[in-house]
Amino acid sequence: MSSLTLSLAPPALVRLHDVLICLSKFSDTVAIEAEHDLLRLSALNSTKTAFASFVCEKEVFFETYAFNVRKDIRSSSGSTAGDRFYCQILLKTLLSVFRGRVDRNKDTAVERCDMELQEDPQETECRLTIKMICGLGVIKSYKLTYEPASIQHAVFDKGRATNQWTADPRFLKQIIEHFSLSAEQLDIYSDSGKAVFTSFTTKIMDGKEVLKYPVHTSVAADKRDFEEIQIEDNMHIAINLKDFKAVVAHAETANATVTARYTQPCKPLQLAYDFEGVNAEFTIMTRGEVEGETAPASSRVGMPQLSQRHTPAPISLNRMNTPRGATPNTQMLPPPPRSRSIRPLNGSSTQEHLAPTAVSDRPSASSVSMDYDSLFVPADDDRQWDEMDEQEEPQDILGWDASGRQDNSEPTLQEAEPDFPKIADTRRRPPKDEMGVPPTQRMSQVWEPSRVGRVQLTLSRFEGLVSSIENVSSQCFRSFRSVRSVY
Amino acid sequence: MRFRTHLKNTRTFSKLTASLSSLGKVCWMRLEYDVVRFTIIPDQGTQVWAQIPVSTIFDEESYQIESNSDAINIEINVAVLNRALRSTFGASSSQLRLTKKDKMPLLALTVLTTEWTEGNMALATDEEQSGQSDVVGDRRARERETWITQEIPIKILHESAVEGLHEPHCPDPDVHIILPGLAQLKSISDRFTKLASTEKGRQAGVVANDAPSASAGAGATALSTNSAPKLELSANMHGKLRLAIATDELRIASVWSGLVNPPLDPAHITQEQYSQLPSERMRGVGDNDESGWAKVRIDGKDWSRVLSVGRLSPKVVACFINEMALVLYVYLPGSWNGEESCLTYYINSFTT
Amino acid sequence: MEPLFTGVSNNAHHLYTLLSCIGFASRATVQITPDGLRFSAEEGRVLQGLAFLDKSLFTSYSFNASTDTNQDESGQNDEDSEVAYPHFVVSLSALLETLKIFGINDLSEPNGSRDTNIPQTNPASSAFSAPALLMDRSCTLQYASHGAPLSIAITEAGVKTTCELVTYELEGNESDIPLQRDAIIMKVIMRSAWLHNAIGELDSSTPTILKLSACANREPYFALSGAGGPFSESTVEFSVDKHNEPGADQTGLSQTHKVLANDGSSRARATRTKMAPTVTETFLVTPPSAMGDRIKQSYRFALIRKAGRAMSVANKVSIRGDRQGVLSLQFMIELDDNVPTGRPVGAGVKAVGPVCFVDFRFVPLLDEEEAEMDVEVDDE
Repeated sequence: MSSLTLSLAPPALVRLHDVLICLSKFSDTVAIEAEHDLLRLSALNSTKTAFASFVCEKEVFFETYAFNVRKDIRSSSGSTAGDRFYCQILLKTLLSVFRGRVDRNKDTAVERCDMELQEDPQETECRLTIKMICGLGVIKSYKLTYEPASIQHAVFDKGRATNQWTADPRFLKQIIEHFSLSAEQLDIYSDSGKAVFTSFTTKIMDGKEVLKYPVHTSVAADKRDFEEIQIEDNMHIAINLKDFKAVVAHAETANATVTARYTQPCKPLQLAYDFEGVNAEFTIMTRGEVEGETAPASSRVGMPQLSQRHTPAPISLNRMNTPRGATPNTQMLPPPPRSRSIRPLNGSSTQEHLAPTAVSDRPSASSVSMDYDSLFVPADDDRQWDEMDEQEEPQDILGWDASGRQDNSEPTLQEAEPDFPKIADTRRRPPKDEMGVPPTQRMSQVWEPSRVGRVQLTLSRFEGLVSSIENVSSQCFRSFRSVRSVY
Repeated sequence: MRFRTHLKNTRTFSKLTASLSSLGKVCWMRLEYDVVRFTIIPDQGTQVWAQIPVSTIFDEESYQIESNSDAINIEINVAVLNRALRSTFGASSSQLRLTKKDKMPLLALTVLTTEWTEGNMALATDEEQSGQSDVVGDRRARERETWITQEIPIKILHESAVEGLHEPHCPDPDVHIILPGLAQLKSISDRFTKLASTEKGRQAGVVANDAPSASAGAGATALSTNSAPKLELSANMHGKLRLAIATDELRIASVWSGLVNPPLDPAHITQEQYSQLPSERMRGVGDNDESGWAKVRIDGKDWSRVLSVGRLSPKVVACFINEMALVLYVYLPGSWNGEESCLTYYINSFTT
Repeated sequence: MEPLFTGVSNNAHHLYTLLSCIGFASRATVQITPDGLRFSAEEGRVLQGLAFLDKSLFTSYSFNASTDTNQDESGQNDEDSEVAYPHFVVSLSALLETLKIFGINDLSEPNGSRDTNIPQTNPASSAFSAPALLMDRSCTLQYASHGAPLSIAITEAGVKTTCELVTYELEGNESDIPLQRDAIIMKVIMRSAWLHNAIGELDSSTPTILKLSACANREPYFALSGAGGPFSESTVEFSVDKHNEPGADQTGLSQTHKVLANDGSSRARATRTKMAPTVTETFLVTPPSAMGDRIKQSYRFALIRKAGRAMSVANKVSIRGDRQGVLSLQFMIELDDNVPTGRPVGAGVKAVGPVCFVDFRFVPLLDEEEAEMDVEVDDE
């Protein structure tokens, strides 16, 4: 059982709104992870090419912050407190709560915002409660529905980055303003004292429709306009311009200097900055030619997906049993070396289960931004995934796997089951019949091809699965009042 | 074939392209030795023929043009050109030239901005001069030099391709009058159009004027875009202009008075011809006589797009050819000879 | 023949402000009386908005009732039908658009072409300086005779705009939603901005139902909640303001009241005898015994939303409910005025324009199941 209570002062409320606006440019939902000393808000875009993360520090960002994972006394297995809680919420919903907190009536302006999230097995719905305490005794409260989530983190190793620059967001914004609104990509390279930002669009053009060809805009800025710049000359990397715009726009509101780090094309690039107790990191996959050709126009290599850590929600509690250090979820792993093997578009990778939305998010998706992908990238769209995941796999599967607990010996899916009583209601079903599958996960994620055979899904077991899904969705935090009395 | 020039008055150039692009994206741009012509002929709606002296938007000193046919004909997306011109605001120099890249003709706009900055925003680095050629973190106030290049795809049109394009010929106008301030005219016109649109929406079963309800609002918009209402614009030779619209529920009209009916240039016309002009006949009709009014019916949306030329603060002479067409002569301010930089709009009248 | 009615206003904006409050409907019923014009808009017989244009809003108001031969066909028996005044329906949306034309120059000209150095060949625009412009404008409403169009003539800056609105006969019975004045069980007066803010807040969760909860002796004293939204529920509670202690537990009843002097809308109250939300100026809740001590009533949120414009424009609102659950929102609107009229209005120290009232009435949701679909907010 866990509970999270926190309160925010009006300035932090404005900051939070800015953060949510920024996240909404990446995804429809925000993943919320609570740990005992921080709260992380993150979003992974649908094509898995951009991951935005804001880590809010307990001490600085919040007025009060208390996160407790309490042992469920009914649970047979002894879980220790102090891990984390995950969930996801529709950004649209959160934004409607935190939207424009500039109250024209100063008398009734928000004075404090209290939030509480409680896991209560008695409740059938997950609720996040937000209370705005306003002047003159006006209290605005909201109950928001949230869902358990499979949290995914992008992998980035700062230490390995060989290229780095730092710049004021206002300067970056001045550059962006020259780009056409329809430009999709941004190529960055340096050439003798100049850093060149070029916007372009990869689109197959009908030769007759010359006028619909995209405009190429390049802005060559003096390197001295950067606070720091150390990048390899003439190495082109390209990212989605939309992502870059979202980062710069937010960094500007936060008044924070942006640092970019990367190694080479087709490896992730990270944009990072800190402000007022918040650490913002954006990990964005790049495209481009690894060597040789440098023209942005030819950087038509597919946009690989980010490598990532994929953590199904219920497993988080599993991790409590693993030795410390076995859950390095907060750290980015170094990207593994990668070959440039080319595979057919629908070649199913063995790791596909780790990419829950990989199929539906294929470039065939009708979204505009994806069009070029479907035209240019089919062949090697998945290759980044494959190699990254090969290294990632042990980590990812850890959650589902044995972690030294005595009550199970076989490293199969079933081994995860005994853990579920911690979060599900143990009184209703024997542990063996439960399977922890968060409703947001696809079945294909849960069963690895090699393991499917070992899990015989009978009807009764399936029912167990369904009810455990319900349960997982209801597992939130416990009653607020008792927690509140603590502090 | 060669074209290269520095730009001047880029704000005017930008406003011009913005006004043109509201009527259509595809623009025929014809570069000649003395003038630049912009022509937009949309599939439907108003066409515009603009003639601008080179010196209005280009720096004559640097203006270079070489072509076998004494002119270069370019097809360009004028909205894209307009967007690119934004980079020139506040620039210290802007150059436009014809070039090629991967065998594709381009109009390349190269802009140098030399903004004066308070040094950069370096946090850690000081003024130390490292051995590197590119010193970063220089905090001294200095000029920031940034080069911006906008490469706009274009099509080169052969002279034969444009031979058949001619400005429309119109009969002599029945009434010619100088329009009142376009901002006022546009806002009243837009209001009338909206009035008639909401009427239409309601008749189609959509609850009108229901802004808070998103679905109803969207429905009304969708309906009104189908075919915008027709405004009735009329004028007489006694300085009066009338804008009107009628629906089942209302009749509304705005009347301006005290406007000027400008004299025609006597140099182009003999005294005898002058007296034969239809507009002179109309002048003879009394102020209150309805037969002295020339009337056209125009599409409200299209008219609104035409009036967006108001951003150039021009003087506009409207020539009414009764029940047939409206021709607007739009003279840009600032040019000594107004006749030289003129945009001509040809608007057909709808029949009832 | 002398027109039946002529009204001249030199501030069409006032008329616009009041009429826009009931602009949720495309048509309105107009009744011309010796005291002013009564505009009524309704939706589905469950929402009614009334705006009264008092004759004091007009610089000249002439109504010659004797020439009217129209008899009110509906034969309604409310207090207005004693004398048959002209009563007809017009397009409200068209009337509002027309009134908006007034003052269009104020919006479009300040940094427009008039200030540039282009030679203005238009004598109409060059002859008028700004002060002259103000004097030159007027708005005339006229109803010549029964069945004639309602005409609005607006003159300013060399442009004369005339709009003739077709008048329609009333469709059937145009009776008002009845509010039982002798059975009022709730009356709350507060600044309209606070109601507007609260409704706007609830609206962000796109609710379908507005729930109102009021109780004279225990918390929450006065709460509005939005229910039926897809992802969230929201509640705005007007409670007793405590001493702003951060983390103060709101369930612990503090008996101290903040004495407010912000704009005179709040005053010190006898703290221990009667509990009332801090924002309210008047808070009377007297439910009949059958109802218990708490009044709960539900309304369609979409209807409440339609009063949003009135909420944003008004200074104060009186929220009343009768035994049947009919909700009345009466908005007091202080019109600002460039020219002080000298009318003594309220306790305001600065010169304010006339005070007008706009009324909304809502029929409650009676379907118990629908109303109780989600009762968390009021559960105690």
